[in-house]
Amino acid sequence: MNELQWYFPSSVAESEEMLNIPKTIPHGGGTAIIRSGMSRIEGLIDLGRLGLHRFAEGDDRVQIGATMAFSDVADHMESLDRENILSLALSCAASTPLRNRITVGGSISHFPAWSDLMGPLIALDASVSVVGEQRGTFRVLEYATNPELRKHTLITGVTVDTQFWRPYYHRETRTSFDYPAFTVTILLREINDRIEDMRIVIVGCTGKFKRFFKIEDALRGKRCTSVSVEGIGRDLDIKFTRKKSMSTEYLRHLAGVRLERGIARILRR
Amino acid sequence: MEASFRINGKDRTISFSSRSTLLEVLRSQGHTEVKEGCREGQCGSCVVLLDGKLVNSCQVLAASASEKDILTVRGLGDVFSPHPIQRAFAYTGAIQCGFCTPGMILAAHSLLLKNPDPDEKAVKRALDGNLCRCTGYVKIVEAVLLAARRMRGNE
Repeated sequence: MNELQWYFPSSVAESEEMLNIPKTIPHGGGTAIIRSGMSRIEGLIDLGRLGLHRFAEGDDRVQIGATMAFSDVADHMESLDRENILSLALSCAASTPLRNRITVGGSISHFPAWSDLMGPLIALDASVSVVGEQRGTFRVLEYATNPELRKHTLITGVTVDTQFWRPYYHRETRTSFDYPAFTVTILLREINDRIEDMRIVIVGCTGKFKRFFKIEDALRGKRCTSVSVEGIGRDLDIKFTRKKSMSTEYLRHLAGVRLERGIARILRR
Repeated sequence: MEASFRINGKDRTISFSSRSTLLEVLRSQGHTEVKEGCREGQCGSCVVLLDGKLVNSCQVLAASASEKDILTVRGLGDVFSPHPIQRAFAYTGAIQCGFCTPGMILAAHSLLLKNPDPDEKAVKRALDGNLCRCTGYVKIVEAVLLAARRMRGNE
């Protein structure tokens, strides 16, 4: 195998120029590149010196630098709000040494089906800052569905809402260390027992993720105590591909059950 | 390629393949206390502290760790001057084959730096990336709790 060419830019502008070098990709320090194999890669752009390892606080929002590790994000978000969805989800991802290594930027750009990050980011309607061939700030939903935004671009950070949302997060695993078959993220904002807003996302299905706008719309404005949870998951509009020990039908049924239980839990039933 | 590292407090300049992992580089330099297990980041036998953070060295490309501070279990203490965590592992009998022990001790050290007074749940959580196939973890958790008490001066 050929030697890898390493590039060590000291600024984002310098790294942008390197994005067009053939078979060369950014490396923020995470594990995705090693795990997905490096045989076709000829160069790596090390992002360690770009100053992307930081949090920037704003009004009701925080920008998370692309090279922040899951453990950093979980700790920081917990310090802002003990019941934060990102803290909840990222603190149960993988294992302690892997959480210290998996980066936010890498996890967004690779978006593995077992991602513990993308469900919460989609639910929070986070925005991703990108430089390179495409430049600007895009809704994470758009970034995840538009492959053009991922070509010759570099994620510099992600901005999330820090206003209070009551969170629910479920990883469908057999043991805590497993990759989840799917994850369920639910966020709720209620005022005086009335659902002001709700966000529901499942990650791990066909198409990688699904946000349930119809269910959200149907629940918005209702009294928490009057919502009939039973049956919401029965006709869930979601598909899965077959997994090792789970059929597509079983996964769909399971997702429906987990979703109903999640809604019941977040409504404090 | 060539890069500099600070390994257990000593500056080293090392030549290695640009595709090498930190695990491969450390072992090639005689750091056999960093164990090679699954090479997939699952077992924790290869963990080191990289700039103070516990990481699987098999999941770190060595070039990306250049100019960083690396701590292996040898840097924590040795048979002549063991660290309190190492003493606690020996005292409680938290070792059988010993293959996972360097990783367990570093994971415990990383925890106690952050949280000097952990409960059993916190210890289990901190060791969630370290597999042991001999002891069943009971003695290991006991050892970490004992080390924590001793380091706080409570025993």
